Amino acid sequence: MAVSYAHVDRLRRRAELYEELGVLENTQKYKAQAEKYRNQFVQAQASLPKSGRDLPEGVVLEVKDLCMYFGGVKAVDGLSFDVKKGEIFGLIGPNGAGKTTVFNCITQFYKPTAGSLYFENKSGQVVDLNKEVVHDVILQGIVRTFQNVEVVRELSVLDNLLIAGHRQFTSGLFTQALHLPFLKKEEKVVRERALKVLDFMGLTQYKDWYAVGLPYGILKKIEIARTLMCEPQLIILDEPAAGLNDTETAELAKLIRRIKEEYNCTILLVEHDMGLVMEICDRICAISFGKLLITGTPAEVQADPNVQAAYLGVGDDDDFDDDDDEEED
Amino acid sequence: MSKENRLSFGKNPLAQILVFVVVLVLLQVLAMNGIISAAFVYAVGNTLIYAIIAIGFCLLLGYSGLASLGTAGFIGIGAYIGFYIIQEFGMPFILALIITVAVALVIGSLVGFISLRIEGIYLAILTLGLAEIIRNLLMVIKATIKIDINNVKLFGITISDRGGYFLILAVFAVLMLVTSHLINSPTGRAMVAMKNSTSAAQAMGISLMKYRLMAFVIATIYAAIGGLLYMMYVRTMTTSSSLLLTLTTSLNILGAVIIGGAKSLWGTTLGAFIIYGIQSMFLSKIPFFVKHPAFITMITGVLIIIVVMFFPGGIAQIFSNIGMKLKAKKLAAAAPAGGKEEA
Amino acid sequence: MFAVFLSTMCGTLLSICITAIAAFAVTLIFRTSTTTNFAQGSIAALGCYVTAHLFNKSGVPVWIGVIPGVLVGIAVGLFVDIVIFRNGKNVTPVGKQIITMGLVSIIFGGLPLIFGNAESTPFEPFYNTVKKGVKPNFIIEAFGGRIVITKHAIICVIITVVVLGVLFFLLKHSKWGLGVRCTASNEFTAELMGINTHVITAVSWGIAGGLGVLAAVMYAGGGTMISPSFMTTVQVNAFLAGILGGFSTFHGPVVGAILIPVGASFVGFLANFPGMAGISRWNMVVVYVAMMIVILIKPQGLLGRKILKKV
Repeated sequence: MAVSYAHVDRLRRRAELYEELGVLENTQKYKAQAEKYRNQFVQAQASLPKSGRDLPEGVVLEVKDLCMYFGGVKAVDGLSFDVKKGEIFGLIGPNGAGKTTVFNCITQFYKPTAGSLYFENKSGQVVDLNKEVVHDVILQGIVRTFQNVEVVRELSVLDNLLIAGHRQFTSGLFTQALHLPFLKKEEKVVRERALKVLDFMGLTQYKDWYAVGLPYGILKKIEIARTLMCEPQLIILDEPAAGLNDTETAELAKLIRRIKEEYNCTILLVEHDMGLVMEICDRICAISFGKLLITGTPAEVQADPNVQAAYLGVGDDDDFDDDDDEEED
Repeated sequence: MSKENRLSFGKNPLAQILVFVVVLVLLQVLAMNGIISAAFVYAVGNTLIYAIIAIGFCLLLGYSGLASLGTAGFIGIGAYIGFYIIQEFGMPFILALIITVAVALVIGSLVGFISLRIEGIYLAILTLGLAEIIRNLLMVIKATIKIDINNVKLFGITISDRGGYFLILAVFAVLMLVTSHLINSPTGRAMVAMKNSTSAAQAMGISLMKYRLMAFVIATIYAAIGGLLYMMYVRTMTTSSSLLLTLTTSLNILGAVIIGGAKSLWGTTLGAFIIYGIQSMFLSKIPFFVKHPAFITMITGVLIIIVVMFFPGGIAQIFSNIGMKLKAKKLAAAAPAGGKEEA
Repeated sequence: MFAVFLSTMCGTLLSICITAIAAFAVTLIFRTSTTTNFAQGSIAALGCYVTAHLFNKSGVPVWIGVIPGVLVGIAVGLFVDIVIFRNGKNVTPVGKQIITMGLVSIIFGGLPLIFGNAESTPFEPFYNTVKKGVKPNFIIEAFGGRIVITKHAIICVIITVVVLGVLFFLLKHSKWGLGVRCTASNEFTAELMGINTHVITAVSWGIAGGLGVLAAVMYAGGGTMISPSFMTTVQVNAFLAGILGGFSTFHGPVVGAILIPVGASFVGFLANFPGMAGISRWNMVVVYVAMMIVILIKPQGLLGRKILKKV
């Protein structure tokens, strides 16, 4: 029988919860169960022809020959790049280059037309992202933010973070309908985690405020805070500096570095602010019209004639497209 | 910018429900002593049935942002199951309740799964179609259904009008408690997240299908339970001439939720009392309204439109705004006094 | 048996016409205002009441009385878009849906107040031409049986083909049609391109209201009893037709509008076979289930195109 990784995760989280609550026997019990299911999962994965393969040493995400077509529009066309563990990786390109589409493919908001996406998840297992459902991607440790801030306006800032912790709850419908003590314990643990994140982000003073009406800079921070709720392995930031002033952008650069160090994760970002990208990224991938131009260090990318041509429009004067990409088909 | 954390633990819905139950029990006690009319209390019980249905709809509309027009059809299913189980087969009420819930669960899941796969907006269309078909089918199966009072039994005891009233009150209390627990739990949060931003919800690991379906199935079950309770309480229904199974009922329930406040369970209950209660408890004595029962439907429509246009939070929001203003005034009154002392 | 089959199918002509017109109207609103107009049927009923009132009380012939009826429909349509939708504070698609539901309540409640409670069959003297010595049906002897077609159905088919033909032509070749198609594909971009989307949606609402009334008068003219909710079934079928054919095109719902009545009466026709007598009461259930299966396999509808949401 096929074992879903989500179930392993569920058991593992239950064990963690009991550990935090100090109930040792339950911790042991769920740990053992999680281990058992994990082994079954690994075996099942190994027997599959495509998944269960190894990524090159140090690589956390491998994008290979990724294509995303919308009818005749080739938003992404045969793009390949690797993201290494623990680095800040930038994806740049002129408007309409297909950057957000790449993100949407990685997080499975779009099912790619072709190409493979392999990712090493939290427990060191290599997964084929194309086989994941969009709402299960977070379980593998991939979280994203959105270009046009998607904060739940009807909820408080703290509740927004608790939403990001949604998959950390293991209580079933009945436990929730009856508010059994287990749910309250769980809520307490997740809430403390959220308070810690708020403290880290310097948002504690806003915790009880409704998101609606808060300044744009704060909303952007809430989005980033949300990504920290679930032990992220790979954080995907879609234009984090858009709409921020110079001071805020400088703060953001520091924040992204701090997040990388504190949470020991990899960061993949799309950004138009070249100053920010060149300053914080370890490596950069430049794309234009869905095709790879170059992958390399900031200095290499800056020196590349193709990148300059794409940005300055030498020989090709067509970068007045509406924001990013994709329309209806 | 309001500084209040609504969806959190600590607020106790149990106390509110207890107060409500005590008040309604007192009403019945007063009626037993002849202080108020029995017909009035009977009408309260009747309205409570609609409140139960409206609570389920509140979860669907206010929390998940989905509209359904199938309520009347599900009420019909509950009512007919009640008739067949209790009257035709002579089984106890509890069994009818279990079967009603099971059938509503199955039909709700099937219809919900198929229509929610496309887009939220399709749910209203497909449920509207379903309700019409159910009504036509039920009419063909049996035009008039009638339950003998001696057949309605709970744990071997025959349920009279008064017993029915208490039973409805008990069901209301239980469902109110369960629903408010659900709203104040990860499920409720997930629903609100989904309503505000489907993309954010999905990125945070919330399955749209799971929670939309859950909300729809819950609304379906509550409506079917409402139909069953109606059958037990009113005990007769002429499907062809009664408005109960037509679109009007679905719209009235929607109206109750919208007018009362789509995000507040108590607001919704109030909405049910406004739309159904006022008519059956008070207006039934005024000749104009007896002659033109449709008038109240028209007013409901006008109120729905005005509320959607200008007061998206319904009456509940108007109340909470007043409450907040009073609080702010108190604070403002207290602040200068404190300042003076310091000076 | 084949003659019976043909006769059954001819019997659905009227219902195909009505459903097709209603489905086109619903689609027009769905595409330009991204909402489902649940008041389509009740606006239609309102206009039909007006026509019926003129016919019965003032003796105005139906083909003249239908004009004020349609005008009422257009006026209500315009009112919904211009007065209600434009003035609400950030009204969402579901909010718009609910507003149209509220409108249904108003019309359901208002019609009995204006026109009295009694349900009536207003056009009885109109369709019942036997008294005047005119036969209501064409009867063709063929395939060893008699095929019956009502004259009313034939007139309605002609009206429907002309009206829908003109509308499809306008959609394709007029400035308004281009505007509708642009607004349908992306309202915001259409506005940026200089299209006055307010005019486009308002005109669409007006046309939808008028079409609804036309369909209602055709339906009632066939001898149907009218009540505030008499168009509900037609409207339900129009919506189902839209889903079945796919709301993303304009011709899809019309195709759906042909399939649904035909499907329903085909199930009814099966009752002619031995052992199937009871099936006719299940006809809509069978059609509904069949439609559910279709959209389970093809969620965008038979002729629909898949639309990806931008994140």
